[in-house]
Parts: sequence; C-alpha cells; structure tokens
Amino acid sequence: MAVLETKDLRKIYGSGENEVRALDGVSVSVEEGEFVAVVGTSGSGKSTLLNMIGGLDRPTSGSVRIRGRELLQMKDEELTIFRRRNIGFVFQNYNLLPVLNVYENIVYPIEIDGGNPDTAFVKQIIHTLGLERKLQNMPGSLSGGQQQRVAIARALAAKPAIILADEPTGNLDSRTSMDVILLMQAVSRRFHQTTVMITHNEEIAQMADRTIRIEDGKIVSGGVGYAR
Amino acid sequence: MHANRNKEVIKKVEKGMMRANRIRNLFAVLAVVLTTFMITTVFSLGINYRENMELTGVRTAGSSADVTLAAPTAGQERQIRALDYVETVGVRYRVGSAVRTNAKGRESSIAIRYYDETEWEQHFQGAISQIHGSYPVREDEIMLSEDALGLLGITDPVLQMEIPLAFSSKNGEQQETFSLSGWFRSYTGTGMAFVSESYCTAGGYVAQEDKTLSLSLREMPGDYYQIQKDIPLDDDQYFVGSVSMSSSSGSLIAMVILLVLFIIGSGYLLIYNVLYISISKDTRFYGLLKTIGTTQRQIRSLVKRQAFPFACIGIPIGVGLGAAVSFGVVPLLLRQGFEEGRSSMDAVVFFHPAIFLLSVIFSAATVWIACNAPAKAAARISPVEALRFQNFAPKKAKNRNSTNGGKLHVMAFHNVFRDKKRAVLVFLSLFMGTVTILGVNGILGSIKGENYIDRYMKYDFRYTDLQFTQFENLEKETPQFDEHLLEQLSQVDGVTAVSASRITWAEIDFAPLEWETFLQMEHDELYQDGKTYEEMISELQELAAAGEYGCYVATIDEALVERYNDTHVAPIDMEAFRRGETCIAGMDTETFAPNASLVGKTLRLTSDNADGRTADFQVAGAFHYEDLDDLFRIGHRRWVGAVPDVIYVSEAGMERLTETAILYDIGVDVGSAAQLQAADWELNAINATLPSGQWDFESAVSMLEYFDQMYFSIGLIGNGAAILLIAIGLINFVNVMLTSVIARRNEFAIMESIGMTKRQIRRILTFEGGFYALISTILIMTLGNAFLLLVAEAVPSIADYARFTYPVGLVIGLIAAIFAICLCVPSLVYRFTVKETVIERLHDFEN
Repeated sequence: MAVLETKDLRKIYGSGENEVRALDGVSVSVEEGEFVAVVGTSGSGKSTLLNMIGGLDRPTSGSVRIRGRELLQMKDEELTIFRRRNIGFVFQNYNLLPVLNVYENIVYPIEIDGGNPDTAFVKQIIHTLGLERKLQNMPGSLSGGQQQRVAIARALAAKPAIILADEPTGNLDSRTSMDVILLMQAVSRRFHQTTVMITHNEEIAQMADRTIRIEDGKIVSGGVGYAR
Repeated sequence: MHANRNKEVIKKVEKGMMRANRIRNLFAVLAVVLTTFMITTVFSLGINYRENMELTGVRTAGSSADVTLAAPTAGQERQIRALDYVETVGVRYRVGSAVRTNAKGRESSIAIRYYDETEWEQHFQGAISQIHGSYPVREDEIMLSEDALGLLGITDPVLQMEIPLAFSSKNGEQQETFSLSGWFRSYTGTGMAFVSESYCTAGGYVAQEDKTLSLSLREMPGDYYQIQKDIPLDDDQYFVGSVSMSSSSGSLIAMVILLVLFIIGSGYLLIYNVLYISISKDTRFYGLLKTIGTTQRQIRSLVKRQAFPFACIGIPIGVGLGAAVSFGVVPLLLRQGFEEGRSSMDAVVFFHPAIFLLSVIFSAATVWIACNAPAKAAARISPVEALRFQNFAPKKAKNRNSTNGGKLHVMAFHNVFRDKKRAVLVFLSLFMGTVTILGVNGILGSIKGENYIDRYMKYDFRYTDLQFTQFENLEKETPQFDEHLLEQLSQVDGVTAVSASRITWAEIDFAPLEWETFLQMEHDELYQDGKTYEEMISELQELAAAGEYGCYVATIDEALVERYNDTHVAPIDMEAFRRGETCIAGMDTETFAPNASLVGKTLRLTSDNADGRTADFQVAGAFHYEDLDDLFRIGHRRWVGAVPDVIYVSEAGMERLTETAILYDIGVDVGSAAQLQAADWELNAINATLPSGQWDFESAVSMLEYFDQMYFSIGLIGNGAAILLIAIGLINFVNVMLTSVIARRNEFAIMESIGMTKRQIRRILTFEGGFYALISTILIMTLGNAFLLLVAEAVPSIADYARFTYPVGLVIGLIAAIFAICLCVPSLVYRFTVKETVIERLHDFEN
C-alpha cells in the first residue's frame, strides 16, 4: 500500500508571461518502508515537491495523500498536527532549536504533541545514530554531521509515516555526507521507515531504493514505485 | 598601506541602503523622536516644576526678599547696606489701612503702602502677576491689587478711574480720592494698595520709624543667621525671615537625572534594536561588502552614517513635540486647574533654552551610543560567517543536563533569559516605572488633606471665638455664639455630635509666698534684663489690687484629661476633676514648666461675669503644649506674665464660677465622610445668619479643597512623570518582545515545520510574557516594598501630619495591569509579525 501518493500536482507562481510552473502535473507514489531519492538540478522543482508533500506549502491544484488522508482538505491547525504525527523533516541546515539540548531536541516533536516519548525506542535511535555521549550538548557545540544526526533522530522519534529529507548532506563534507546517508539507509531498513530524500548528488542518490528524476517540474523517471 | 579610494562607492551604497530600508528608517526615526520627546519633556517639566514651586513660595510670601527688619535705625540701615552678602535692599513704608467688608460679610483690610523702586521692581514684582498700568508717580495716584479692587466693589477697573478711599493712618482718619494708575494680581489673599513717593513725602509717612527694610541675601538660610549676629538690634526689633518652599529641589534634580538616564537607556535600546535587526537581516550583505574589499572602518561608518539622518529628522521633531507638550498641554492643564479653582496658583511656564540644548545633546548622544554597537557588529561580520549567521543564537553553548527543556513553560523561561541584558532592562523598566508611581502616589497620599484633618482637626467643623485667641484683648469679650446656635447645629442632617466649650475670665487671689517656686521661675524667664524679683512681685500686687491678676478659665473635653493620664506619671483624679473640685494649669514646655510647681496648691478663682462667684480649686495637674496640640490656643485678656497662661476646669467646675460662661469653641462632627459636603452647605447657610463678628469657622470640606488646590499641580506633574515611566516600561517591553519575535521568526518556522501549531507558539510567548510579569512582580514585592519602606520612613519629615499608608489598591492594580499587558502583548506581536508561510520564513533563514 502506498504511504504517500500525489496526483497531478501543480504549483504555478505568477501569471501570463511571468508564469513559472514549479510543478507541472507531478504524480508520485511511495510504498511503506521505501527509501526514495528525488534528484534534479537546481530549480527543477524538487524542493517544491517536498514542501507540498510535507504540507508546508499548498499546491495550485492536484492532491497529496499520506496514509490515505488528503492533506489539501485539512485546515492549517489540523495540517500542523497531522504533520507532527506523520511527517519527520530533515533539513539541509539541520534546523535544531538552539535553546534545547540534544535530547530535548530529539523528543521535542513528541512533547509538543502532548505525548510521552517511547523511551526504549528513543534510546534505540540514539544508539543507532551514535549520540549517547552528546545528549546534554547544546546544538551550537556540535559539528555539522552531528547536528544532522540529531535532526534525523528527531525526525524518527515520533515514528512518522514518512521522513522527508531536503538535501540532508548539503552542508556536509563528502565523508560525513556518506556517513549520514549510510545511517539514514540503515535507519530506514531497521525501523522500516519510509524516507523521501532530495539530493542533487548522483552518488548519494544511488544509495536509495529508487530514484525519482524531476526536470522542469515534471517527473522524468521513477515516479511510480514497486514493492520491494 | 593603500589609500582608500572607494569613498564615493560607499556613499552610493549608503544611499541605496537608506532607500531599501524604508520601514526600518521610519521605525528608527520614531525611536529617535520618542527618545528626544521624553528627554525634552522631563527636562522642561522638571525645571518648570522647580521654578513654579519657587514662584509659589515667593507669591505666597508676597515678596522675593529673604529677610525684613521693621523700624531700623539709621545706623543699622547703614550697617546693613554695607554688608557684602546683602544683595538688594528694598524699603517699604506703611501708610495706613482701610477696612472693608468682603463678599462673605467678613471684615477685611486693605494695607496702604509705599515701596521704593528697588523693593517694587526687585522684590515685589516677582510675587505678583497680570500687572496693568504702572506704579503711582503723581501724588493722587494709587495702584491696587485685585483683592483690594474686589473689596472696593470694583469689577471692571479702568486706568485713571476715580478711587475714593477712607482709611486710617498715623495722621488719623483720612478721606482721599485717588486716580487708579494700575492694578495687579497678588497671591497673599489680602488687599493691597500702593501710593506714590510724593504722596508719602507730603503726608509725612517716610520717617525712619515707618520704614521696613527688606533684604535679599546671597545664601539662605546661612546669611540669615549671619545677619542676626552682625547687626545688633533693640529689644523690640527682630529680623523676619520668609520661608522658602524650594527645599525639595535637590531630590527633584536627582529624580530628573534618574529619569533622563532611564530614558537614555530605553532610547538606546529602541534605536539599537531597530539597527541591530536591520543589520542581522543584512548580514550576508555586509559579508559580501567585506569580500569585495570594504574595510571594517568603512562598514562602521556606513552604519553610523545611516543613523545620522535619523537624528537629523528625529531630534527636531522630538524637541518640537516636547515643547508643544511642556509649553502647550501642561500649562493648559495647570491654567485650567487654576480657573476651575482647583489650583491656587496660575502657573507660569518658564522658557529655558538650556532645556532644548540639553535635550538635543542627550538625544544625539543616545543615537551615537545606540548605533555604535550594531556598527561594530556589522564590521565584525566575516564573509564566511555571514553565511551561517543566526541571530539570537546562544553565544556560549554550555551543556545542559535536562530532559524537560521541550516543555512549553521551560522553553519560555529559557527564552526570557536568552539575552540577559534585554531581560534585565525589561525587568528594570517595568519595576522602576511601577515603583516610581507607587513612590509618587505614596508621598502624595501621605500628605493628603484627610491626614491633615485627622492630625489637626479635632472636629469636622469648628466654630471658634477669635477674641480668645488674641495675645491681648483688653476689652471685655462679647459672646459670639449662643444656645440657639447649638440647637441649630445639632439639627443639621448627619450631625452626630456637637461639643461646646465655655470660657470665663477669672481673677486669681495672689499668694506670692505660697507660689514662690512658680513666681521665681516665671521671673527668671521673663525678666532676664534686670527687673528684680521684688519689683515683679510689687507690680503683680498692684495688678491684683486692681482686680487684674488672673487668666482665662475654660472647660475642657474629658478625653484630653484621660489622655493626660496616659502620658504623665502623676495622674489626675478624674472623679474629683469631674466634680469640679480640681483644675489643671497650662501650658508648660519641656524646658520651662512653672505650672508643674503649682500642682497640689489651691487657687481661689473669681469669675468676672455678672453672676461670677468665687471658688477654690486644687491644681491637679499641669498641661504641656503637646498635650493640647489640637486644642484652641487661648490667649490673654491682659498679659500679666507671671500667672498660669490658662486654667482648665470641668463643666461642674465652671458652674461653681459662673452660669453664664461664654461659648468659645464648638465642635461639630458628622457620621460619615459622605455627609460632609451636605453638612458644609447647611452650616454655611446657618453661618450667613450669624452676626458678622470675631469668630472663625473651620470646615474639613474647605480644608480638603485647600489641599486639593495646593497639591493639584504637584499631583499633575508627579503623575505626569509616573505616566511617562509607565510608557517607558511598556515601550521597552513591547520593543523587546517585538525584537525577539522578529529575530526568532526562523526559529518559529522550524518549530512549525516539525509540527508545532501556531497556538502552541503563542502559548510559549504568553508564558514568556508571564515570566516577565512574574519576575517584575517579585522585584516589586521585594525591592519595591523595601523602597516604599524607605519612603514611609521619610514621609514624617515632609510634614508632621503626613502619614504613609501602603497603597494596596494601587499595587494590586499595577501588578494586574503588568500581567494583563505582559500576557497579551507577545502573542499579539506574533500574530502581527508572522504572516508569511513557513516556507518563506524558512527560506529567509537559509539565505
């Protein structure tokens, strides 16, 4: 069953001569547990697609379904709550909260949802990502790779339906990049976690189960998934 | 070192930045305007307050001279004029006085005087206002005060109009017709008339003994004591010093300085924040400028030069607004207060160029300091760092051993202290604003009329017979009040108690041998100049033979006797006093207590009323002045000297002397404060039917009105300053909240992206506001209350009737207001500033 499904997604900025079609009829589906990479050049629309899927931005037309729920029919507040329960984000610049230490950052999405963190699960994630010794550190004192690992842990902790990673290695050197990607791959396998990752790095895209190519707002290849 | 050749380019960049930052420019100019406005207002209000207090002092004293000396000898005058610390010497001559009946049916007099040029111009003109015409020159000219015009029944004075005036002078009764040369407003409450030098010379009023010298000294009160040492005076001569009201000006200056520093601090924060936000928004831009070869110094001056136009536009506007308020709004309020009878003075607004100069300097300094730090920050930005720059990121990332940091209230708490300097400034401004309001109102509240009434007015309303207050009143007294009045008073609505005290003059059988201690003490006090004890005794015996050795005997409230028993070691037997067997002699002082030596002795008193009898009274006690603080001061019919000043007996005691003692003191009390006004009207209606004479009516209502008048302008200015402080506190809080919300837009975007709802973010912000309020409240309840304790201790030194009451209502009200504002503002600010979508804000951050 597809965890994520988009149908004929369009995002159009401006009108007339200035019209920019950031997304032009994108239909994608991702199965449960898949690790998918979205590749495309700068300005191809891959980030826009990710934002649509994550409910951070609204398309001009089309539909986005996650676990069968139509995102576009939700009101802002409802969408936010749906997002924190079902979608985990990993950003290029980590976006950790500077006032919280590593542990607090990781469990933050669970706490704002009013829930208690599944301590055993969180410990497992922390162990997997090798963050045991850094739990009391503030984000400012961590290296980029470490911060990104915290961000991944944070995205995983709430057991979301899908993790959306936007150029997770964009700010990291190539060695650290590879470490992070390997981790993401391992995590995806281990926790059977659906992951959609944007990258422009072909080498990294190779590590994914499937690669979706996007050019000028259109899917070129890999739009429809298959069961592993 | 290479010469810098890109100055032209920098200028272009500067212009471009100014154009690109319209909104920021607007805010920065507003911040400068606000700062300058507040500084100007505080300076001008402070200076005007001080000057008006001094003016009020001069006006109520009727002169700006410090010391007067009546009837100086020619030698003394020469000596005085030669003293180097005597700055000006004015001369007054008393010509005579005219008695007129005023609108209320009371007799009031117009003093007719001649002042020489120095006195008129240098001492007197400062105490009057609204001068029309000029000082009389011709022999038939006269100048009158508005009060005198009123007494003469003139409502529309015209120059050169005829003024017929009957008056008495040392030449006897006079009848003259003068021509009005001018009139003026005075503030002493008495009628004044001035005549010309030629009139006085012709009438022979300019003799040395008619002179009063009025002097202004270099330094009060030091020179006042000095002149008393330097100029030897005759027995009946003494220097009279006028009391100055400007004693509080030192604390006023301190207050103004404190306020100005406070405003500079707030203005600094405002301007700093505006610039700082704009710089952190342009971080990448500055990084870029550096990459392409702009020096640190150039970037600093780039930022500072942007601030220059803000100062050029903002400071003049601020000064203009400040001037409009201090010379337009405040005087308008003060004048309105005067015209509506709420203030006894029509205020004068003083123009001091220094106010504006100081305001401009201080404001410019504030702008300079405020843009210094952001300029440095901009200059320090390294091209590489610029990419990663994140405003508000904690500078030192210490580890923190906690797991609950994600709880909304914990996050809010950490957020409050993220920038400690800002947090402290907000606490301080909220705290100081509140405490100043509490202090000002605490002081004003402690000297309010009600406290004066509690302290000094034994009754709500009081009738007193003035014949008995005179030092000497040689004629036999005529009763001013009768039993019918008592009846009328007790029937007035709301009156709960009417107390009546009676008085008679009684002869005392002179027994020099028995009272030797008493007489010896009196002699030592009274006749230090050589009259022997024996001479005094023989004089007193002569008086006794003529039936003139005696004093007033009055009844007294038993409560006072009971209070006497509480405070004195040897109590008075209440029963014996009540039965009328004993009396109490008064009034002793701490250092001079002759009456105490009479205790135990028996006095034989004989009332001089028509039905007067003789009765013996044992002296049971001696009153001190302090015992009779709130009592009517009884004088003498004839000043005898070595005799008790007054003797108090009970009602029964009085009946042993006479059945027809004169009612001299009537106290009227009403049930509640709410009934005061109505009772006042009724009593005034009754008073109108009383024959006008030598009596006085004291009303709590008019005393309250008087106090309201007296403190109207002080209250206005004090509360003005308080409102200003509240405003500063609020502006600081809003400013800090606004800055911190704007600076954290990205952070909020992150929170939203990982699933935090807007409502949750608003809750964090509300929590933050709550912490600001809570911490400010804690400060107010601890440090603030300690400060109020100091105020409470200082209050008794302001006035002896002052009583400090903790302003519970005000404290609760202010704290409630602080909470209301602190809880509402942050989420409102968030609502108004965060309108873009999460993505837009996240992108902002990434750029």
